[in-house]
Amino acid sequence: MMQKRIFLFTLLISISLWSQDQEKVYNDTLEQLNCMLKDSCQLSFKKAVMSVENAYYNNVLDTVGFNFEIKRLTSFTKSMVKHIKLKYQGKDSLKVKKYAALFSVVTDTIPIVDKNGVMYEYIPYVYDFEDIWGLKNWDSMFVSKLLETGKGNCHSMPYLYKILAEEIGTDAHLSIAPNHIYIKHRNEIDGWYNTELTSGIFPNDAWLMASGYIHLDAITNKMYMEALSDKQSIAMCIIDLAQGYNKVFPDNDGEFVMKACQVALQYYPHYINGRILQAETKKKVFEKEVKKDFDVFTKEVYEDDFLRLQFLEIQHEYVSIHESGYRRMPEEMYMDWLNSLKEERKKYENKKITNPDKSN
Amino acid sequence: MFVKLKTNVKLNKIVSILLLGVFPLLNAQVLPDLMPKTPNASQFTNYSKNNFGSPTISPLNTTNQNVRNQLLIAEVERNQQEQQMREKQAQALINDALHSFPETYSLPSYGNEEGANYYRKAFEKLRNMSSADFSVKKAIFAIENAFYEETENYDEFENTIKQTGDFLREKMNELGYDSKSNLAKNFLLFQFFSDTLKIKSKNLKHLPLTYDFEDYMGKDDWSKMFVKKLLETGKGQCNSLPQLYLILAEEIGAEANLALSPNHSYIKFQDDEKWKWYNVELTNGMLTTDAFILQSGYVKAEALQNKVYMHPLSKQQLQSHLYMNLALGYIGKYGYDEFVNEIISKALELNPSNVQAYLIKSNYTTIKVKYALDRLGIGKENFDEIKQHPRAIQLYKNMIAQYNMVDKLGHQEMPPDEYQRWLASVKEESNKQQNIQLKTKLNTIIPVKQ
Repeated sequence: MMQKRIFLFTLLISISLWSQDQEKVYNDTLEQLNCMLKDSCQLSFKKAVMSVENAYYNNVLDTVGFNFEIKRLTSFTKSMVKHIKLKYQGKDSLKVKKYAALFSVVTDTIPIVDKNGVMYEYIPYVYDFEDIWGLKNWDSMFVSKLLETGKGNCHSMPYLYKILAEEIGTDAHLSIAPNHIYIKHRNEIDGWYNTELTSGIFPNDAWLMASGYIHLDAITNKMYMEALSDKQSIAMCIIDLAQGYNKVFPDNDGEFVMKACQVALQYYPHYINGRILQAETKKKVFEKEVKKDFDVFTKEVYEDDFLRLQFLEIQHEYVSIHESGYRRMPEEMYMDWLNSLKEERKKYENKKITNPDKSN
Repeated sequence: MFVKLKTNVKLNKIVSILLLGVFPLLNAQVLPDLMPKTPNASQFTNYSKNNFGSPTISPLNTTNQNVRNQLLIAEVERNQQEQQMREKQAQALINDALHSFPETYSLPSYGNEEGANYYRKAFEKLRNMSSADFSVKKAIFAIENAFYEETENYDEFENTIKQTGDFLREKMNELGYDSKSNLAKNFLLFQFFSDTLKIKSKNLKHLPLTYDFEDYMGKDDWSKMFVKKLLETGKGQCNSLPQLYLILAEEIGAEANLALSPNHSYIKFQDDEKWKWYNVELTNGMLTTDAFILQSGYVKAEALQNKVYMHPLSKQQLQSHLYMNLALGYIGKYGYDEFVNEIISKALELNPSNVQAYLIKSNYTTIKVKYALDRLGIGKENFDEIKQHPRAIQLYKNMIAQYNMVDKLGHQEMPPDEYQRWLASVKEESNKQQNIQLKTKLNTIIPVKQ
């Protein structure tokens, strides 16, 4: 009996220690990312993504495997760069070759012949239509998941692309659309152009703008379709981190998430997901306080100066988010929109880019 | 080399400045300096100050004879090397200077050609106008009249506008529109351009203004772009139609803005509550949605973010646009010279994201680089020689910077046939439907006189 009790007791303790540990992992990760933003540590998108995912797995992510896989893909991409042939004639064609190689590695089936003349087929990553926003399993957004299963979504695929770009020493800009991330590149001849990994197409901006799914103001205000800098990308990782934290600790007091939002928004103030998460967290904290003091939301709440100001602030934030052009897009609508790219490929394809005359 | 130059001091300023720089170099040999500075091309004018300074630590101050001799020999050797280096550098500078008579690096002026001075005068006129509040009518007249070498009569032009204004005011009255409502005034103006308007009591009739497909870019005849031509023929294009709209809006006190899209301009106006914007497509006399403009496929997100396209131009931005028009007229008639740059600089000062002005500037800098390289005898084969001409490099870099700017602002070249296809697509069923819906809506919400 006594033994059983002791066992139970140690179990309880270890569980609470476990959660304390993960709390610490999360705080450390935030600190690590903040350090990159402050220029105190070297900025590495790969490291940032890996540590965000590692925090979610409470420090047990197979980082050696992750790094190994990235290394393998990096050297594969590098050898692709050497073999790729392009019609592109600009002075920056080496850079464009790198972009083309990255695109192939993430989206194309590539035949490979080894030294003994045996043919292999490199199978690209594919879009996973299940649970596209990680509602069931948060980790379906993860690059580690993509590396493991070969299936990804509009979060993990562009992230992997950006990691590989960083590894082969070139640039790639993440860019966001409603619930979506894609890649932006710039070359000398065509200026900015888009790379859409979920369907492996180079769509023109009209795909996003004329689709009717985006409010014009949201584009003008750079909420969407901005070529993001490396620091802005790290800020995105911080919001990912906070969202993961919410999944791990559903009943948290909001303190960590608020802190993360503050850091992220300092470097990317108009990041829509950050702004929304911050507003939602404020709302959650507010609701908790109301429940504690008043149980239900009544007029009396409004007579409490502190709560009233808080309420007004939250309201103001939501209005401002709406005014900047944000509209929620339901999942079905999102899928329609993604599909429109395949169905109306001709209309939205950037013909200048989609002509790489590949040798393979 | 130096002697030859001395006799040519009168050549030009650059050479004389150079000589000032070279003389102290020669003197350096006479007055040994223990700490000679590494000569630097950009510093050469300062040598006069540096070299005549007091040589405090001199080998002559040392007591030991041997040391003194050694030091002196080393000193002399070093000085000789320095001297050679300096001579070499000076030579390069002089070579460059010989080639850099100003005309190599600036385009020949068309200022003396017949009628060119009218453009100068128009430029001055525009400059004397306030950028916050100027008369669109006067500005546009000045620009067009420069092309006609001031042979046009302003009073006549003003009279036409006033009569049209009277017609519009009369019609407002007849329709019972509230004469204070901006929405009502703009809706009437829209109808003036797109429908047949009659005033029964006075037996007056105005036919819609139409789009002129012929030479719509004014390639063969620049005057096709003009409001004057539109008023005379009733046919215009995407430059003259919106400009006349703005002139008439000014006449009847309506607020309307010009907006740009690839190769195109159109009108935007707001309702009285300043909530909703309406787009007027004057080339087809239709009200359009933003989606129609985006469907062209040539509007980049960067262009929206930099407020280049689809953004109502402020008065100041409009003036910048008109300067750009003036420059285009001058280029059409004469060509690129330094005056073009002067106009464009003014346009860019008023609106730093005037992408068309940057396009002109890109052309101007390209022509300038080409001209300079031709004069220097540099072609594709011997492009490396550009390295010997710092000013040419500077011009070249400046040219690249202009193109980068155009890119950065989100400009994308739209081929003319794509443009025509897009413009024609306004007549597609969905756009027609939108037009009818918007018109019906406006018809029901127009404020009438109380």
